[in-house]
Amino acid sequence: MAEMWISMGPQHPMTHGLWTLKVKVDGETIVDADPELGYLHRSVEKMGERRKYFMNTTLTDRLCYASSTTWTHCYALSVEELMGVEVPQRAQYIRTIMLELQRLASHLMWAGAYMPDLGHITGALYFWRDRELFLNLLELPSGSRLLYNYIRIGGVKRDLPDGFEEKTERILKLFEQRLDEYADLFENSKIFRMRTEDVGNFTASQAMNLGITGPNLRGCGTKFDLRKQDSYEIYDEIDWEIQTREAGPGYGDCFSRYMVRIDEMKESVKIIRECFKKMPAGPTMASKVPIRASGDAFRRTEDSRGEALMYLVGDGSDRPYRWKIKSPMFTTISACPHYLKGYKVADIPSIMGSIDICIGETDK
Amino acid sequence: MSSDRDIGIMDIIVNPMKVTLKQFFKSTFGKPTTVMYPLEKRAPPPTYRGMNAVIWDLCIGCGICGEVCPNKCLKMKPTELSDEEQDRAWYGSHVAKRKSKAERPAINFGHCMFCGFCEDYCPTGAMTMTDFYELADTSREGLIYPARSMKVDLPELPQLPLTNYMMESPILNSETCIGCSKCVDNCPTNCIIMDEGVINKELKNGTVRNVENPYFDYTICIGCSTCVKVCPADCLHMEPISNSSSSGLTEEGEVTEA
Repeated sequence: MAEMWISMGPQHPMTHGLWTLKVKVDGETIVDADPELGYLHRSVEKMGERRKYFMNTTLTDRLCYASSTTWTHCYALSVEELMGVEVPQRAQYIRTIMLELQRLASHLMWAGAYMPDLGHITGALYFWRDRELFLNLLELPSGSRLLYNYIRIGGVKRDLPDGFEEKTERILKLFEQRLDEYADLFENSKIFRMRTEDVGNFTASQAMNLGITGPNLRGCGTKFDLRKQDSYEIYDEIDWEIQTREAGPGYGDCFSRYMVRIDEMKESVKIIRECFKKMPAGPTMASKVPIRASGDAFRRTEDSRGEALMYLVGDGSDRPYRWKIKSPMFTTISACPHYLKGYKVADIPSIMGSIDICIGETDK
Repeated sequence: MSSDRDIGIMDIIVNPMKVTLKQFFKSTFGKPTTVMYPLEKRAPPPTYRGMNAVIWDLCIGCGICGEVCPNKCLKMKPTELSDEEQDRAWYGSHVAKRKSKAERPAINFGHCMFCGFCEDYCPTGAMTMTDFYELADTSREGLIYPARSMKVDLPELPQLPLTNYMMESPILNSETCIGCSKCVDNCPTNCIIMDEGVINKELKNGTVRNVENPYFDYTICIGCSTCVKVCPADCLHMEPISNSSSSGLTEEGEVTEA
């Protein structure tokens, strides 16, 4: 049968943002694929070079609309390294709580977006209903629902409001019940597992060669999480485990990536609880934050989607001379020909949905 | 793990049905998850970042809010203050016994992204953000809010100290200063005075005149860098606070009496 190219996107239910996936098909089987990016390019790096260091936290918020705190945090960490700012202990705890709340919201956003891909629109409603709980929590200290601008260079904007701990505990308890509901609805659902099991497999060595990080790599069984390997904030003082899938049937496929994220959410709940227990009193902002810097610095953090890296060069002025953002999704999408080959056209939404695409950070 | 076992009839029909029925009864007879927006509104938290409001009595017209605005949607507009407003101005009556700088911020909400920097960096706490968020308008011009439309009055004014959030203050190069005293005229907190300088200049008629230099009171300097911008001879530049306080140019007691 003759081979032909099909263009999926830039407007397509599978794409989750603006990008085009060109697939070469032989009948129903995918022979080759070619991702095309750039529809959402906003030149964030260049814009950042024209703004003062502290102003750029508004830009990093907009890198990924589903996980803005983690990106702002990565930027704040690299600027603090560049300027040599010490963040107070309490601010580090607050940051960790906010990061984990954001991770929960981001994974729920992904799960809610993944379910309609598989024809399960009810799933979207269930997950987004629960994402709302965490957005409400994130709104309390920051004052905004989506673009928080809460983590600042040298600390956080303000201390947690009164009663935040009790509210969080109440919501976490509710959320744990909801996680059991998800197990009934999705994990044990025959239809969901038929669409995701043994689809989109890639092995750990393949993933490492292609630069895939985050939950997608941990879904192949690799114990790699920057919160442990290159620890930042207070993750090394807290007792938690890297979530991976053990070797066996359904290893490194869409279902294992789903399960890794669900397990990570359970782990995030644990981290938040422990943070509240150990949190000391004190200031939430470093006493002196310079606005000029020189030299260069980079920090990498575990974003909700993988390894986020920011590299900054300062020339002594109040603006960065060069700002480089490394996005985890850019490498993961670029590797899609490797894990799409051999599957059917109907598997594409299932595979591309499972890697948690966010085009905002990919195109920057 | 539960997901590794075989899926039976319970998993396919009974358990998902239980969840669905539970949610069905909860949302049909209980409180709905969503809010009927125009009829009922969810209460925003006290920290909510909505439309700006400016407490005119506290505003000193320094322009830091426009300086830190990443979108440059906030501009300082020359505003005529009535006598009563001038009297009530906190700065005029409490800090330096001088007339308040007649400039107040105006905002183009079509460009505003509600980041809250203007609120955070305001040295007197005059810029606030309210919980009002219904700003939609039928024209672009309608989104440009003039200074007076954002004015709010408080019955009792808090006595706040001036805070230098910019973490920088001006440093003088006295070699190039021409003694024009433009910085003194434009300083919003009146933290500068002119006094004897280091250079004596010989005029055409043979007399020798001392070029006066500005001296800064860093305890009330807010780091707005207005003096640096208006300096015609480029003899001022901004430096981090630690450098300026140790430079020895000004002793504190010397200037605060001014």
